[in-house]
Amino acid sequence: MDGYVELHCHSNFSLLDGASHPKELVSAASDIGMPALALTDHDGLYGAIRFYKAARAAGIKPVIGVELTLDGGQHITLLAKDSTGYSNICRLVTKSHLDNSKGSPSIAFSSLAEKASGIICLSGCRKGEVSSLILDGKPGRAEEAARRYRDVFGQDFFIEVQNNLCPGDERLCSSLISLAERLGIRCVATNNVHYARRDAHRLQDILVCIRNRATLERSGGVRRPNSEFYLKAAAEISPLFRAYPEALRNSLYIAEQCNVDLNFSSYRFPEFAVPEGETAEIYLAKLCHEKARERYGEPSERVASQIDYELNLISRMNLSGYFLIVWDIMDYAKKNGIPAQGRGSAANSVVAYVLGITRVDPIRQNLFFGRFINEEMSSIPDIDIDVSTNHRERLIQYIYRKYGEEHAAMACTYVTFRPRNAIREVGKALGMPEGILDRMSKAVICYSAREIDDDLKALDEFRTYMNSEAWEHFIRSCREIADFPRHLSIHVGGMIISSCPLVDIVPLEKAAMPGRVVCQWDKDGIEDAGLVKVDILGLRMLSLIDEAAALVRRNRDAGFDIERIPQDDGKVYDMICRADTLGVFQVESRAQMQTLPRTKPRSIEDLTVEVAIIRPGPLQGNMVHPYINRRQGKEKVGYMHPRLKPILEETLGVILFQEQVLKCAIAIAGFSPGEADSLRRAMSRKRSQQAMEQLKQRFLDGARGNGVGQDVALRIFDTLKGFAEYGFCKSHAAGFALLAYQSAWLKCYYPSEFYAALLNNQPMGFYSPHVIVGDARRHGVKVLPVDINLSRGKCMVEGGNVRLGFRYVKSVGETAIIDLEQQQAEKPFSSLEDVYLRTGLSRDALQNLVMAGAMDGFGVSRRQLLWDLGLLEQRGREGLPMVYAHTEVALPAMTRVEELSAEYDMQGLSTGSHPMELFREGVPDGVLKTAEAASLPAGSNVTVAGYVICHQMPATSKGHVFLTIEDEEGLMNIVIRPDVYEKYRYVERTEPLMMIRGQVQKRDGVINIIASHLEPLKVIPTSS
Amino acid sequence: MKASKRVTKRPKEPQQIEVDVDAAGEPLSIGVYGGRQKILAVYERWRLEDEWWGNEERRCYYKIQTGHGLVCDIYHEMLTDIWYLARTCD
Repeated sequence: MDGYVELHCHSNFSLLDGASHPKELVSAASDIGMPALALTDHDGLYGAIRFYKAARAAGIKPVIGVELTLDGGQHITLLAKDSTGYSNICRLVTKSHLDNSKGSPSIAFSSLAEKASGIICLSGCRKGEVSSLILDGKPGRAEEAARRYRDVFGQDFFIEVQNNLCPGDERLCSSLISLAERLGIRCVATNNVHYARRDAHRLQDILVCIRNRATLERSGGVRRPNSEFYLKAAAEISPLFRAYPEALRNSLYIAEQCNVDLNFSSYRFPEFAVPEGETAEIYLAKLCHEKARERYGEPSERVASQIDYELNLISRMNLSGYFLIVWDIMDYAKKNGIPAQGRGSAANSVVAYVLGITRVDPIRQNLFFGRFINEEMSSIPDIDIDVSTNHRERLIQYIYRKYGEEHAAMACTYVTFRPRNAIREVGKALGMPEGILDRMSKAVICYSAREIDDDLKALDEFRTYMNSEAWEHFIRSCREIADFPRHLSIHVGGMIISSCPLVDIVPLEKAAMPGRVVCQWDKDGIEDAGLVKVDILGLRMLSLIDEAAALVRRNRDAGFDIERIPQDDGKVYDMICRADTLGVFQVESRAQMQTLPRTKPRSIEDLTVEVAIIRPGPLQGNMVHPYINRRQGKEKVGYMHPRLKPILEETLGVILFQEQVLKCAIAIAGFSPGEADSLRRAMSRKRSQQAMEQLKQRFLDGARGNGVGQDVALRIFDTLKGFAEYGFCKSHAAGFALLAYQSAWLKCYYPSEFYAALLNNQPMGFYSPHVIVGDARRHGVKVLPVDINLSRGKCMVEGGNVRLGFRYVKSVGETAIIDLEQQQAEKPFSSLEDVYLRTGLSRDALQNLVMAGAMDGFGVSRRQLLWDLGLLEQRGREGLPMVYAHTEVALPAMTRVEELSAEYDMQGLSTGSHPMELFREGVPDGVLKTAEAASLPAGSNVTVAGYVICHQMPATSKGHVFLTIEDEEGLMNIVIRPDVYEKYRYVERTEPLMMIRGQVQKRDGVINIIASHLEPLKVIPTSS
Repeated sequence: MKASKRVTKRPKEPQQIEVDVDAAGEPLSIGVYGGRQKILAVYERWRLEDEWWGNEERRCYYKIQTGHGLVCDIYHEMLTDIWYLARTCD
C-alpha cells in the first residue's frame, strides 16, 4: 500500500458528533485514492456493516474499530486485526454498555487487558490517557500509562499523534514522539476525522450544539476550533508530519495487519433440538404430515404433492431448522393463548399453513410458493409474526428463555432526523426564534428534511426570511442532517437468534425498556451480515379481537370462538359495502371508505383485493381504477393472452399481486419460479436496468417458444414492468383480510364489546378516541363517563354501553388504578373525602379525576370539588377534619364549555356533547350540519363546519388534499383541489376547526364536498 | 520550547502588519516597529475558524521568533488576506 490510511474516523453513528454517513466517508476515501480506511465510532459498531459493505464495493480495505471510553472518561482507539480481535472488541463494547447505566458506557483498563488478543491499540486523541496526562503537565504519569498499555498490547500498541492545527497540537505531537522514542513504542499519525469533506465542519458544529443543547454563539468552548477534521489525502497530511514520516508509514503497516471478514452466515440460526435419531428434515416432514390432517382432514393429492414439493426445496436450502424454530414459537403462542399469525410472503407456503405459522390456506387462495422461497434466492426469507400487542412481551421472553440471552437479542433501529425535529434542533442551534421554529415545524408536511425548503417556500409567512444568509445556512443544514441517526431505539419486533454467542458477532447494549438488551445493528445490518431475524410485531388488532371475543364470552356467550364465525355473513359485507368501517382493520381509512361502495367486497377474496389496492403503489401504477371500473361493469374484462386468464380471472384481468407477476412470467415465457422472482425484483422499486434488459430478452425468447407472438409478449412484458413495481404481496393481504372480516363481524354483532376493546387498545387505527366515541354513539352504544365507583382501569361493557376506564385520565397510573379497584371491591366511595382518605392517589390524579367528571356522581360541582380537594391537601391524610368558616365557600358550577374543555384536557375526549353542539349557536346562519348537507342533491352549494379529524395529501393525488371533518352528527369528506389549496393552505394546515363552502358531490354511493372556500371557525361557544 | 520568563502582551486591537511570504504562504519577514524583521523560527502553527454563520473568521496563527529576538504570535486572516500581530512576548 502507498500513501496514508486514516485509522481514526467517525461516521454519523458517533451520534451527534460525526457528520458524514459511512458511505460518504468511503466515497471520499475513494476520491483521494486511500487504499484502506478504519471506522472507529464512539463505543459502538453501529455503522460497521454498512461501512464494510460500502468499502468492499468501492475496492477499499475496511478496518473495523472503535473509540472506547474508559472509566476515567479517557478515550482509546482499538482496531480489529482478526476475528478474535473483532470478537474481543464486541465483548468489550458490550461490557462497557451492560455494566453501566444506559447512555454512559465505559470500561476499566483491567477489562481491556483481559481482551487484548487480536487488537491493535492506539493511544487515542487528546482525550486519550497518555495525551491528557501530558496536557495536564504530568509527563511522568503519561509515561507510566504508556508502559501499562505497552505491557498489555506489546508491539500492537502505538502512540497516536494528531495534528489538526489546534492550539498546542504541534507541541503535544513533539512530546508524544519523544515519549514514544524513550519507551521504544511506535507512533502512528491519525487525523481524528469527524467528516468526509472540509465543508461538513459546519454541520459538525451544529451537531455538537444539538448534543450540548446550545446555540452556535454560545458554544465556543465545545466546538472544534477549525475545519481540519476531514479525511485528508496523503499529500495534505504529509506536511503536518514532515518531521515524523515514520508515523505516516505506520498507518499503512497497521492497515495491512487488519483483516476481518464480516460475513456471519455460518452462524445464522441455532440447531433445533429434534427427537433422538431424527434430523431436522425428517422431523419437519413428520410434523407437516401429521398437522396436514388437522388442517385439511384427509389431504387431497394437490395438498400432499405441494407439501412434498415445499419440503424438498426447504431441505435443499437447509432451512428445515429455521422452519422448526418458527413453528416452535407459534406452537408456544397457541398453547399459551397468545393470538399470533405469520405475515407477509410466508403465507404462500402450505408447510407454513399446516404448521400453524400462518392462517391463510394457500391452496384455496391460489397463492404461489415461489414468491416465498425459490431456488435462486440469495438470502433467507424472513418469516414475520404478528402477535397481539398485549402478549408480545411474553413471546419475546419465551425466545430469550429458549435460546438463552447470549444467543438472542432485539434488533435496533435508528431514529433519524425528520423534518420537524430537524427544523427545531437545527434552528435552535442557529439561534432562530422559537416561535418561528414552532410554526414552521407545525406547517411542514414533507416526508424528508431534504424537502423543507420547497415545502415552506409555498407559505407566505416564511417567505420574508428566505433571502437571508441565515436561511441559507438553516436550509442547507436541514438538508444535510436528513436521515442522520439521532438516537438508537429497539426495532418494533426484530429478534436475532444465532448459533454462536451473539456478543462474538455484534455488541449488545441496554434498551430503554428495563431488562431488555438490544444489538447494535438494525435489520439491514443483520441481513447484510448473513444472520437471520424473526420479526415479532405487535399488532393491536389481534389484541382487540382477542379482548372483544373474551368480553363476548364473559357477557353473552361462554362458548364463543372467533375462529368459528362464518366467513360469508351477508350482513357484515353489507356494513362493509356501506363504508361503515370505522375501527375495522385495514378498511377504515378515508381512501378505503371512498372505495368500498364502489368495489363492494362480498367475500374474503374480495377483501384481500381491497386490502391490497388502496395503497400508494397500486394507485400510482394505475391498477385501481381499471379494477374498480371492471368491478362496476363500466369496463369490459379482457386478457392479453388466453394463458393469462386462469391467473388474472380473480382480479378481472388486472394484475394486482406480486404472485400474479410471477405466474404470468412462468405461464407466458416458461420462467422457473426463481427466474420469475428475479424478474419481479429487477422490476421492483430497486430497479436494475441491466438485470431487466437481460430478463426481457429471456422473456421474449421463452414466449416465442410457447407460441406467444412477439408483439403480445412485449406488451405483456411492459405491463408486468408497470405493475411489478407497485404490486402487493397477496399472501400478506390475505392474512390481513381475515382480520378485517373478523373485526367487522364483531362490530356488526357485538358493537359494545367491539368499541370497548377498540378504546382499550389505543393508539391504533386511523381515528382518535374522540372520533370512536362519536361512531359508537351513532351505532347505539353510549360511551359512559369515567366514574369513581363504576369504572375500572380498562373500558368495560356496561348494559350494552361502554364505561370509560381510568386509564384514559391523565396522571392516573397503574398504581392508582390498583388502589382504586381494591377500594372499590371493599365498598363504594361516598365522597371526595372518602376517596382521598381511603386511597393514596396523588393530587394530580385526584384533580384530573374531578375535572374529567369521575366524581360528578357525588352531586357536587367540579369547581367545588377542586376547592375541597385543596382543603383536604392542606389538612393532609392524617389531619383532623376541622371546618373553618373562611374555607367554606359556595362556588359557581363550571359551564358546559368549561367541563367539555376539562374533559378533553384530561382524557382527550368527552363522552357528553360534541364540541360542535356548543359552538352551533354561534355558527353563522346557513351553515349546515353534516347529515343535512349529505341529504341534499349532488351539485348543491353548501357550507359546513366541524373539527378536522383527518388530513391527507397522498403523493398520488396530484396536489389534491383530502380532509374529514366531524360535527355532532357525523363525518363529512372534503376534497380540496390544488388551486383552492394554494389559496387556503395555511388555514388548512393549522386550523383544527373550520368552516368550508363547496359543492356536494355524490358518486357511486360516496359523498364528498368539493371545497371552494375555507376559513377558521372562530365562534364563542354557548356557555350553558 | 521551554517555558520562559517572558511576559506576553496582547495589543488592545490586533495590529495590522506587513508580512512577506514564500510560495507556500509561509511568513518570511514581518514589518514591525518601523522596520523589517526576518523570521528565524516558526515554533508553532495553528488555525482558528469561527462564526461561519455570521462574521466569519478564518485565521492561520504562527508563533515566531525574529532575527531581532522578538517572539510573537502573528496571524493571517484568510478571508481578507491581511496579517496581524496578535501577541508579543518581552
